[in-house]
Amino acid sequence: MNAQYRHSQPGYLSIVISLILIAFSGFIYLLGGLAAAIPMFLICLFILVFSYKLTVEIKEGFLKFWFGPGLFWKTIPLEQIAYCQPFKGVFGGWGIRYVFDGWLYNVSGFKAVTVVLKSGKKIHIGTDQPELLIEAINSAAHGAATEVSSMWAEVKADYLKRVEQALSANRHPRSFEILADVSSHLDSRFAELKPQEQTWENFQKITTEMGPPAEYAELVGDARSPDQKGVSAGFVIALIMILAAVAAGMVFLPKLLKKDDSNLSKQVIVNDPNLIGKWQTVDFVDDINNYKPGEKRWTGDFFLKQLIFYENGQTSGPWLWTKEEIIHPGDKTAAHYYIREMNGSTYLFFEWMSGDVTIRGMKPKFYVLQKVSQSTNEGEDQNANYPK
Amino acid sequence: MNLENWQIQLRKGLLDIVVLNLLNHGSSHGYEMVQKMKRIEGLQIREGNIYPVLARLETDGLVASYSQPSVDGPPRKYFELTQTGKRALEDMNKHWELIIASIEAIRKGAGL
Amino acid sequence: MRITRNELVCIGILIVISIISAYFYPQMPQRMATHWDFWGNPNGYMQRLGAIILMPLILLAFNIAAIVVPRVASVWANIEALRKFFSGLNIILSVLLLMVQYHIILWNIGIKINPGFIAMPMIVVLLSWIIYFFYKANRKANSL
Repeated sequence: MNAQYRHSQPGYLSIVISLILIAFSGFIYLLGGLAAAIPMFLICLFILVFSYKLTVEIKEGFLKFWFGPGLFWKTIPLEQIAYCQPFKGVFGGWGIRYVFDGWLYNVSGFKAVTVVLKSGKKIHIGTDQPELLIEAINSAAHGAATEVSSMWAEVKADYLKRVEQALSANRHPRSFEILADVSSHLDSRFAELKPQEQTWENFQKITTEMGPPAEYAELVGDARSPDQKGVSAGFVIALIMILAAVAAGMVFLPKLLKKDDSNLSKQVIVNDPNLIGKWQTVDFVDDINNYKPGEKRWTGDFFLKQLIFYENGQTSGPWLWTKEEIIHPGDKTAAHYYIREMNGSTYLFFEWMSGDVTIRGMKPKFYVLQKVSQSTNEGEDQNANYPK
Repeated sequence: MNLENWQIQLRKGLLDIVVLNLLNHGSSHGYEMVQKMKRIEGLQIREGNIYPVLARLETDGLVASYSQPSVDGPPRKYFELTQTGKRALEDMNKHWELIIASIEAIRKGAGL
Repeated sequence: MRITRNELVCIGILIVISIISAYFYPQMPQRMATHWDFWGNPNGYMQRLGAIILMPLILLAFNIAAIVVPRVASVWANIEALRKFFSGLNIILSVLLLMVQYHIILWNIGIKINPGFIAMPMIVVLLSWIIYFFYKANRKANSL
């Protein structure tokens, strides 16, 4: 037996996103990330096959829909269906998900049909032809003449499409609701017709009596939502002043919090010529004696990668320094440093005053930095001797 | 001049006050309101016109909508007047009486 | 639809976040702490430029979506319900990202504030808004 209704909605969005992600997984593969590329590719392929289309069919007393070539399907006996209506909920994406009053199955677009069962349960099915689907389900479920209801569905769909086009010029936020109301009104008009009155001419008469679609846009008026208060000049000025105050506060707050900076920077700097220059981090150790040149114990990432000590007691980081001490004005900590010569290179052991030290009272660890240049220029130094 | 066209434009202009006055007598759904208006001489409107008007009135806070289950199908969307709508209707009705009186005066040539 | 007050506020916050990011950029270290663990210790870093522009870019993308989508999709979807959601979400996200960006800046100039004081309250507000809105909006919309 041929299906009374069968339609497949292409999942354009799923197709596009899957193809983009497949290309991206190829890019990751080329970068050498095979372990990440393969699972990503397989997942994308699955999504593509699963959701490239959603097919709905009414046949032999059942409403059935399935994803892709037949992956995941659902069958509903028509006798269990009370009625159908356009989906009026809030879309939050595509696929299979629960929307507070039932499961929503869709692959593209913003339209769906709500199938309400006699038990009260609701199922929402995505489609790009909701009026035709509603008519097909209603007539199949309630035994209406298929040819007549198809004719009516066509006339109704055509009228609603023209109203939709007229309203889309205004982009009124209630356009969707207006379309839903008009659709319900048309259903009521159709329901009033006796079987012998269900003719093409009478259907056209109904849509004529509904009025030209252009009038909907004219009557709905200015596209503004209820709680959108007008944007007056006073509001704009107040907003600018408040935001300017916020921005100014954000700019000046650090200066207030770092007041001690000025005191520290005015302290006498005792020079240490051995410290001045550019240093590169090579290790992070528990104890100075644990460090062996050429052997890196720390397996993680270094927060401090390099540091330049300038002659004026400043550094390239937030620290200040004087002989034997590196001071963090913000943390109000003073760390010791030790310089050692090992295997022909100069190493700086910088006591790291982390939260473990200052709050938990633990023994400090040491950043080990190797001197790479006497120069304090930020850029590359020809004489720089960077650790390998 | 096309009289029919003038009548259509006049009815469109009066839709707000007509709909609000209808709702003042009790909440109703769009289809029911259209059927009532069809029975009143001179107020037959194009049926679809009521929905953008109701949407606009709801946007302006003059009416509110709610759902009511129906025995013969999907729930129906009912509309009712809000407090703001009642106050606005009072003002509109007063203004309407003023317009009626003014037009009557012009027709009779008073004050010209 | 004309621009709304909420949208104007969000655009204003976007401008503020851009201004403070540009202002503090020269003071940022080459490698910035940008992610913290549960105990407030930094465990994620980014290069200076990427770190400083990330939040403004995210906010810009979100503002574009929140402003454009309701204007083009009003006929296809129940935008009246979505509009309020995006409007509120935009404000919450704008404030959250501004606070996060400012925290990153302060941390990287040496003013260390526990990120939990900033992130947790805002995340709670954000999640509450999402859950509350979808629950109420779907209930109202599906009853019509």
